[in-house]
Amino acid sequence: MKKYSKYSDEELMQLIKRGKEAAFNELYRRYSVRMCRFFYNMLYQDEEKANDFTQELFLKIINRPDLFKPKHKFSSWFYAVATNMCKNEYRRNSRQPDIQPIYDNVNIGNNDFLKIEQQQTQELLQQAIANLPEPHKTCFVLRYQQELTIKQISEITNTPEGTVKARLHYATQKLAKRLKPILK
Amino acid sequence: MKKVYDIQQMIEEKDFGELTKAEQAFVLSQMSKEEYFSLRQAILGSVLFFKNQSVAPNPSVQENLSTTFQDKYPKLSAFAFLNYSIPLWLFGLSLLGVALLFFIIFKYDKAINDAKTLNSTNTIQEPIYIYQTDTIYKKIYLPTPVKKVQKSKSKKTVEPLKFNDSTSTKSKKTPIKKTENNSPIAYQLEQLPTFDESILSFQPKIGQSVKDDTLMVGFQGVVF
Repeated sequence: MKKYSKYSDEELMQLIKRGKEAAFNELYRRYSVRMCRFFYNMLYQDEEKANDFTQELFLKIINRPDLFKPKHKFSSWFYAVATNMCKNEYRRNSRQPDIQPIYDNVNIGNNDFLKIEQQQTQELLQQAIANLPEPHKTCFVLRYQQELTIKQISEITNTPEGTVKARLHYATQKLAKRLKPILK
Repeated sequence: MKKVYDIQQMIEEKDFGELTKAEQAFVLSQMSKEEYFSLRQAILGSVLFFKNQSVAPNPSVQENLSTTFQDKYPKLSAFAFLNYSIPLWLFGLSLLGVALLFFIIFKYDKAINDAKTLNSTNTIQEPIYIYQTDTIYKKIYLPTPVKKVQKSKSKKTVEPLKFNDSTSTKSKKTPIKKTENNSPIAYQLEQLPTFDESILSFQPKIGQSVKDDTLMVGFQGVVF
């Protein structure tokens, strides 16, 4: 495994095509946690679903490694596949999470946002992010959870960088609007 | 020229107080200070929320994937051929092929043996050795007898051998006084065979044949 840690993602993919299991394990070590968290945040914060989707995503690498073209950057391709899986899941369910007034059940006073108990904050943010429209949520999660650049997100979502920035701003506004009551 | 600001980048990176005057002026042209604050808090809170997540894939996911990988790319072992099955007709055909191969080899081997037996009954193989006997292998020096010349009275000198020397005839030779010498060396010299002076003109080298013969090589002949 140590030997393969020096290889790039693209080189590992070439080795996987030749049946090197150690190369696959190295790739799994690099991406499994972050992809699981990506699916978790994209798919209704359902941990079991996140696990299933992570497994399905890596199965694509095993069964169809030829889908990856060496001219592309692996991480961009991998996130694009994951994003498409989420889109398909939304389409299959034919539903977006219902937007609910997330602050109704939160007992808050005039405290500053940062002084609110962490549990309450997490619940609020969890609901607020889950309620974002799919394209905005994708950009928001890729930017602030996966910490990708605007350019990378642009490649993954196959949209211009300006659109990505606009979506990010829109998502931030939505979140801020929903969190406004507890900020006062 | 009016500078273009990326407001989303500013919200991510700086508090309102950290912005330059020009940046603050740009932000205030787009939104209020409170709105900027709320947007920044939303981003910082989200980043913190994501960092606190401890979601990780189950170990069973990796196990399942590993099993699938091994099924798709089976490892070749030294005894993998034992797991390989072939149809019965192919097995029978291969056996037949091996038997045919043995039959051909056996027949060919038998033919060669028969030929050998026939040859061995009709011929006699007798080795003939030819030796090389006249080659000088080492140069040695043997003691050579010289003519003894006796000068007048008791003075005894040794005269060297002279060939075609005309002056020697004119010189007055002193008769040789024959003296008895009973020393062991003198006795040995008398016992030696006469020395052929023509040998002195021939200077053979080591390994050179003395006679004018050819180099002979040993061989084994077959006599029918």
